[in-house]
Amino acid sequence: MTVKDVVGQVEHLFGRQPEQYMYRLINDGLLDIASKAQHFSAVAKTDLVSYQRWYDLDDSAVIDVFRVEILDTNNRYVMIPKLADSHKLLKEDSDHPDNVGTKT
Amino acid sequence: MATSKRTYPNDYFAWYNDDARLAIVARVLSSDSTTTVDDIFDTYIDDSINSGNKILRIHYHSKYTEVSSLTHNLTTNSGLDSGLHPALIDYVKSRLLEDAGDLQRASYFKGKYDKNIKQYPHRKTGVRQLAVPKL
Repeated sequence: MTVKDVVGQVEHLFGRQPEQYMYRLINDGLLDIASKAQHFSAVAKTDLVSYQRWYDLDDSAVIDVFRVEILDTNNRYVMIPKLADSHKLLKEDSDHPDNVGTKT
Repeated sequence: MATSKRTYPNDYFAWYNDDARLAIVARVLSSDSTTTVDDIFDTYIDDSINSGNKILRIHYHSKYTEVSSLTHNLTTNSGLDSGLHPALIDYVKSRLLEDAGDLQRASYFKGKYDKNIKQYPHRKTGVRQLAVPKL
């Protein structure tokens, strides 16, 4: 189904509507469905960076992260667990090397 | 040391997140630090790691691609499953009526929309019940 089909069905009932207004309503609907249904998943790959704890998530695409994997030395992606207990963190969130507890 | 952590990533790495960022941490080993640590995580360090390595793979629930033209296909371009197209139409109708001030009809279409979203997916696969023959 295309946007034209949606607009056609709606205009059949409500008459002619401004095009940009229809796009806005459809996009609002897509956002609402995405947040409620959460059946649409995607995958992104990025670099693992030394001394970097935080990686920005693309706000225009990501609703929530449900799985993270790391490429092992045999070139296979292996799932890693979610850290549930924040008390297991050695130091507060910081990417600066001077604040990283394991600096050698 | 860093190489051994990547040999068995599930034993050493963990993740958590806030609203806008994902954190990757690694278990601190006794050989990493002079302090006595047990089951503690900190920022990962590996000076030998190269840029462009694509080591992290993140699976996430995604938003749909926004529409901007009449020819935009909701399934192939936006990723919206065809089973959810009726819900989208109900949503648009509901919003149109709401903006026009007809709240009674708007709530009818909103109810249809909510019901459709709640019931989706419509159990396409899997064993649902025992098929007991009638004797």
